Amino acid sequence: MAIKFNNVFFKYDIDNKDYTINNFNIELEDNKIYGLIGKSGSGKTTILELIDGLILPTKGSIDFDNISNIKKEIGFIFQFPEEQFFENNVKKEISFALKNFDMSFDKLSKVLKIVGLKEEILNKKLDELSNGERRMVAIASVLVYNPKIIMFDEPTIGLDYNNKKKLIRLIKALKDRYNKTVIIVSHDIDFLYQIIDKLIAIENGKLLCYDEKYKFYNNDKIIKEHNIPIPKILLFEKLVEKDKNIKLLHSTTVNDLIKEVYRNV
Amino acid sequence: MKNIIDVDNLSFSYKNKKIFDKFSLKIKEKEWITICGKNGSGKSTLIKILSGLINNDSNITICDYKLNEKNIYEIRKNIGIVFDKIENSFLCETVEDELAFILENLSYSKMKINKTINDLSKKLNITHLLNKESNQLSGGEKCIIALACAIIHNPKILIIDESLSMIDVEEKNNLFNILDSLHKNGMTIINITHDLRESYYSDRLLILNEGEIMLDGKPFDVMQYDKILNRLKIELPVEIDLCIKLKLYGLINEINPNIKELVNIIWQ
Amino acid sequence: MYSFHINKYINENSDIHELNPFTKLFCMLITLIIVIITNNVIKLLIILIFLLFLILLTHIKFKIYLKNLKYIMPFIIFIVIINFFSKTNIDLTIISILKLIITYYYSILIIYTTKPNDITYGLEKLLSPLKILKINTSSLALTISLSIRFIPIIFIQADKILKSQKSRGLNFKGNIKEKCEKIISIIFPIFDLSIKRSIDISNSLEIKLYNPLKKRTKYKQDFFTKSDENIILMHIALLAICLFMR
Repeated sequence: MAIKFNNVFFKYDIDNKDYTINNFNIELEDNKIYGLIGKSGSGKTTILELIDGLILPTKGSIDFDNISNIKKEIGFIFQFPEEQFFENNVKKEISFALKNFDMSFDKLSKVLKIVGLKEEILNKKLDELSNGERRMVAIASVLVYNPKIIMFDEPTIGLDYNNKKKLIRLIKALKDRYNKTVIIVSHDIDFLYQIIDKLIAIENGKLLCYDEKYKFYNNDKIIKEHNIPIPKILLFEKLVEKDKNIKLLHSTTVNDLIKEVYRNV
Repeated sequence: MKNIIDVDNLSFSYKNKKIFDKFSLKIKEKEWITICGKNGSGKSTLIKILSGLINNDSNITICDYKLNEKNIYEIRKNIGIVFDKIENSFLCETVEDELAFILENLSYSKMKINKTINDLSKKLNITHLLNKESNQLSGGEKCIIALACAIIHNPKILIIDESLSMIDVEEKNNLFNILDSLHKNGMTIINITHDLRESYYSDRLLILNEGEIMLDGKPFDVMQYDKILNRLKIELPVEIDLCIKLKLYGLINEINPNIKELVNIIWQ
Repeated sequence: MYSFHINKYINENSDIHELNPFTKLFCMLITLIIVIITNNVIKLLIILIFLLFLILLTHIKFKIYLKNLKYIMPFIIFIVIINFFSKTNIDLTIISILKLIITYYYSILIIYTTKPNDITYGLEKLLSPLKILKINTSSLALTISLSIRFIPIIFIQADKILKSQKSRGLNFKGNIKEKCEKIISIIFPIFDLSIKRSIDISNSLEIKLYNPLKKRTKYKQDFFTKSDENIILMHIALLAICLFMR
């Protein structure tokens, strides 16, 4: 168990009546990609902040397996991370974490390769970069210290299509090649569907539903009652099964779906 | 239907970079047009030029007024804009103050301001938000309030500048229903966005790239040019990509984003 | 979301909360005048008791007011020490301390019972005589109001940046120079944010046809009740007492 939430309650202000996170229990395993969805204000970002130790549970606890230094082993890429740049120079921004964790600077070339940036970018100023490059620099700034658990908060917002595809390849590589555990908060369910193993839905600070991604959507009642968004490809497969009694093999891309449709038409 | 916005041969440079070169665009009255394009395509610059925030002496006519310093007041009376950073456009403390702001500037009487605010709040279902502070609202609520502030003076043209990217699907649907009813009542709507899904309701989809119009037509017609959109780094929604490929295989005849209907058409 | 408020307004149902913000600021001005011209311990004590009476009227728990004592304690101690070493009269020390407490707690009273924007509204009315000097008080008030509303935004942004740094192992090791650098590093993105916000606000003002030189309707309801009259009269009476008694 990489991460375990034990009856976690959290509220920002002791004087608040309501809890932001309400009796949250979940067990996340190593080396999987998790999607975390929920309406705005449901507590998604708060969960990520709790995991990263930026805030502490008001009640309950969070346990980690094999993690001695939470800050060093967990990486958190915030929403609009480019807005939190505080250095002017790319190299300084990316190596900020290396300085803090006393790690050597030879990681820099490697992390640039992983996010698909050229080495020359290290000498550039942050305001000279394009939006996509800035996003990748922000991601590199977190990956550079090689955390075991990596969390993304709305990573696709403001990204154009090419960079989105790059991001998808990157996240898959984090799991398959680098054995990381990844948690992604996103409201883009079609994007999530392509890469996640398991899906977590949260509402009003409570765990609504948590399952492997196909089984998750078998909970028809909960999906309908709470208006949980369904990936279009899966919706297609479900409607074909329900209305036409044909069971298509699961696809995660349009091309695979087309092949399945063609086989069954 | 006559043109409510007529841009004729616009040329504009910023810091020695040419943004528009002899650019022309005509938007008809009561048209709902979606403008898409990657960052740097000129979308936001166009809005700033149309709203008179950036000076330039080109031939632009809005609501029969030539765009110049003399007419900018009359033109702005007829435009409502929702900017992308919504928090930065809230100038007053409460929602009610915010709604009243432009009406105060237009010298409406106190009674008229009161009535206008009450009527609009009832219509948009936001009466319960009137006394709240603008920074205490949720993302979706902020959007609706920003929209309300942009239409409260009953402008002929509503411009939404990439403001809708951060809100939930449910809240977005609610907002688009509101836009739909505004459109049915004769408002011209210009929606600037990255998300092609937002064009499903609109009459016209315009794809902008580096200050040039690359594609212009009915949304589902434009979306068929998937290779061009790909090259322009514009993402096709999953369901549209699916339709285009189904069409290629001869399984459907036209693009339909409704999955249920698609399934019925394929397996008749 | 973030209950990060520089807004120290405490919401209660009280006569003081209901007062027109202009009334409160005007009365505070009168009190300040009284405090400046009075140098009599007894009179100052009377004013202090009057202030306590007003505080009671706010229906805010007294212990919340007491919490603020800790911020003013260093100043009181400072006064005592300075006066001790310059061998000043005990009376003068007490007078200084009383003046400090009255001024400080009157401000707290106003801040607790008046929303920031109401304060600027009251300020605008208070400053309206300045119109004679051709100062545009209404746009001055708007500027102050926008600046006040920007403060929590700055804090939220600074908080976000700090979180992003903490998440990447921010620590305060190192010598003084390095520590200072770390704190100062937050200033750049906040500066960026401020500039962007200013531009956005200025655009909004233009689009919404704001013209401070032109006459515009003031929608905000202006209630001036008997309570307002009474409170102002009480303060004027207090001023009269302090001017003309012994």
